[in-house]
Amino acid sequence: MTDIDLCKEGSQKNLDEDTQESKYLTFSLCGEEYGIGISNVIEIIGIQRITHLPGAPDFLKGVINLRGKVIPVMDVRLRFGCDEKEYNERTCIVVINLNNLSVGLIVDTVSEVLDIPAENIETLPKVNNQTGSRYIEGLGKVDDQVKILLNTHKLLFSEETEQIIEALN
Amino acid sequence: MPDAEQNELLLAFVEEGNELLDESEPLLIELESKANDSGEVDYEVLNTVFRLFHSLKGGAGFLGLDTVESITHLAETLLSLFRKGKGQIRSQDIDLLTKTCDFLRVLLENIAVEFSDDGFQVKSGELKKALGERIAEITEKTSGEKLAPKPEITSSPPIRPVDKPIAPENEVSVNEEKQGGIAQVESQPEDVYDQMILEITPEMIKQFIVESEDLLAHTEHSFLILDKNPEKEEHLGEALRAIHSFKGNAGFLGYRDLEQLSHQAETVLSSVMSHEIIGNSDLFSLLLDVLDFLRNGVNLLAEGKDPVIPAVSGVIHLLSDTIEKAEKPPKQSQADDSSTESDVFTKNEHRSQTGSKSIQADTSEENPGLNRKNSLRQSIRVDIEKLEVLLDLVGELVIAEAMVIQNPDLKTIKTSMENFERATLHLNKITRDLQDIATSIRMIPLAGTFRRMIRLVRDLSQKTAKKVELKIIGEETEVDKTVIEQITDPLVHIIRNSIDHGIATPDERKKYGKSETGALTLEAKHVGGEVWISIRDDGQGLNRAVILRKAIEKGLIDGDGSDMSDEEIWQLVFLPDFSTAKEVTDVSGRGVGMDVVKRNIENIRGTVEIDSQLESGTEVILRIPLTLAIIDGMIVQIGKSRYIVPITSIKETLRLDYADITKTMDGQEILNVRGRLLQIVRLHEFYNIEPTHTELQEGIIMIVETNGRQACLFVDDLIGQQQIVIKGLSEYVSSTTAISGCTILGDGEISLIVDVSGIIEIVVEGKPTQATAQSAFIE
Repeated sequence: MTDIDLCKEGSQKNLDEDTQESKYLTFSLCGEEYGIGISNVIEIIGIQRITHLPGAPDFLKGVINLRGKVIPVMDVRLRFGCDEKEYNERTCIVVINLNNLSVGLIVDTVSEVLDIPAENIETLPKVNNQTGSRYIEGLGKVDDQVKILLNTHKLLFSEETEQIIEALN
Repeated sequence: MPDAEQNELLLAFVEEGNELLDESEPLLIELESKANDSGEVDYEVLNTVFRLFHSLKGGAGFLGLDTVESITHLAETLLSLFRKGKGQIRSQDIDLLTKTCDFLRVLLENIAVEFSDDGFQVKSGELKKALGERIAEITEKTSGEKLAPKPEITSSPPIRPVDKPIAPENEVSVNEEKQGGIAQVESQPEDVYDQMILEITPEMIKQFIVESEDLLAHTEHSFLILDKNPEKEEHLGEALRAIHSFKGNAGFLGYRDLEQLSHQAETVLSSVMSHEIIGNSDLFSLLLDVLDFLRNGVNLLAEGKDPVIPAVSGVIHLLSDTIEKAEKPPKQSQADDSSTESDVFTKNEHRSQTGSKSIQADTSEENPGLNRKNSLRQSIRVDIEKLEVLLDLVGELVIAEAMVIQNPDLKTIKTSMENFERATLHLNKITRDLQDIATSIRMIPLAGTFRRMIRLVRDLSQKTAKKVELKIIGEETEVDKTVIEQITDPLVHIIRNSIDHGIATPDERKKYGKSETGALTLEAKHVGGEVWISIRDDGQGLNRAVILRKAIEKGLIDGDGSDMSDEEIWQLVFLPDFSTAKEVTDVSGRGVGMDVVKRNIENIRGTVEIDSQLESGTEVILRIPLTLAIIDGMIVQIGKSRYIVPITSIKETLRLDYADITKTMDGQEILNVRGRLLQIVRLHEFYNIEPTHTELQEGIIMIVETNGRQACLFVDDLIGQQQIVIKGLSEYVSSTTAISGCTILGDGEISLIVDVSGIIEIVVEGKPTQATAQSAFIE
């Protein structure tokens, strides 16, 4: 990889982010509406056959075969500590990509892509790292509704791992 | 874009540089051993090493890697002194040169990351100093005997350094341009010489360095051409002009040594120009050396030191001697005032004079070069990523093929499938062939890795004052690239152990009635679908009693171990922290090495075996699968899931007629298999799966073995044997229990691969599961 190429890629990314920055994919989970930044979303697929992984944490349901690629899937309900719900035809897997790592997020239903400008996003009044609120990046106001915007990075990695990754970068 | 191109070139250079170093190191050691044995210098080897360093230097110079260039240059100078028979090659010299190789490797590594070789001034300075001192030592010695050098020069074999592949026509035009520019620079200051002499600014020095490098490079190029074709007088003129410019610049800046030496070189050149003496290959070799000295001076300047040339007067004497004693063209008096006819004659005469020499040169010099070229297979460099993608795609193809051939829809077709089956057979053959080829692309011979061990053995035997002879067998054996990466460390550790613990000192060996020199054999061969690499020594062997005592001391085994087989005891040395060494030396003794060996080899699904006889030697055998990407696997059913057990670890499968099971009070089930008591691992319990059968008689028992340890796995059913394309589980999944990977089956389902050695470690040996040990990664 060369400097030039990196620059190009960077500028391309910036361009994309300019248009995508304020766009969020919203989905419902345990009766709440959540949103994640669209730039990380690769695709949305229906529920697939999941191969269970012995010894993995509960919320890591297993791996799926996405066109020949082995991708781990996480049940976000379990990650948030909600009750498990049986998967149905509305259950979706949102495949996201963070630093070349693809992970599927199992959510109840996918709603829509919304434009939430930065000025409409407020930080959570009180951040408690012990509970699920540490996954929250902010609260997005759309008309009368409030969408909980998630930090995908925090969603995927434990605090400890995140620190390691930060230290490495 | 130029940056990108430059970086591309740098990476190619790094790759090539490493190859060149890989080639050089064993040759250096060969040189040393020959010089030690017979006191003779193997010129062929020496020339090859010289060529390798020269290529490295050329590449570095082209890419502006000054540190690499200056160091290779010094090494080259030292080698060229040896080539001329000046100075004896001593062990210290080889040390120095191998150290140079080491340092160059560090530089190359840095270049691969940073795209520059800056930041190594201190280290390179030390090395340069050491090389420079040795060069000075040799040259001083020779110049001390300056009455003798003439016969020495003529008796040394004529050597033709490799030509740099530059198109001469381009070269000329570039050269002339440069010449013009420099002439201007030079003429300007001469007018104001007196005032300027005290006001030498750093910029001027910088400019001088840049110009000098150019000038010297051009001169060198001309010399190299002249060396081969002495009749090309236009190059003589060019060289003369360049040297003259250099002399002028050096004089202007007050660098006496550089000025004097270049002046003398100019004198020699102009004598050749005017046909006073004949420019033969010896003369140009000498002049090339002079260039090296000049370049050394310039390099010193670049480092901010005074451009002092060690023993400059000696070199100048040598040059003036050359003029006096060099071959004079016959009928010299006529040659001056006569026409072109005599010129032609002179040249012919010259040819006939040097004829015998050039024939010699042909046999000793050109032929090895040609052979080398011929023996090189035609090849292209391919980005390793592309290869990985290709291999991935072939893997996908194998899966896709299975998905088509085993497609459930086919079962609904009632008509004859004869044509379809014929077609699938054909498809199957092609995919197999493609798979073979794709895997073989990644295969590289072990030679590179093995040859690196020559150096290691040499260093270690010196360090430990033991005599060791390394014998290498089967270095042409090819293994997967990943295997090469994984076995280098284990080889190093095993060889360290062999030399440090196995092979005794010459005195001790004599006591045992062995020859003083220990024999260490490194052998590679294909055995079935595996590559076996054996490291064999004729040393003291492993001592059962000592290992047992240590193991009991550390609480690693229960009881006194008298019931353990030798094999089981040898496996103890692979445990982390296990060392029987009485003291930790800088070679070994910390108990880390063998642990690394086992880990690395297991990473590539290989096994390590030890065979040892007290007092007569030890053999360590690394058994490594040929490819890493595809294995033969047995698909087993556990509940609704299908798992894969590698065929290599399955000893036998059986269905129990009656329950010959002993149940201990803590729930362990023990099966008696022909006298061997093996623990049964119910995979459904282990992996926490709802099984179809819970009664042992209804399911299947598989006896598995890794590293000499056995266990029984209980599964619901066997589905069948299949080639498995291994896929890694995502990086994200770090905390599974005894799963080594996964594959995609014909119907698209992901099937997990059972890590047999992991299960045995957890269940039989009571290791904590990885899930508890590593769960921190995600939560």
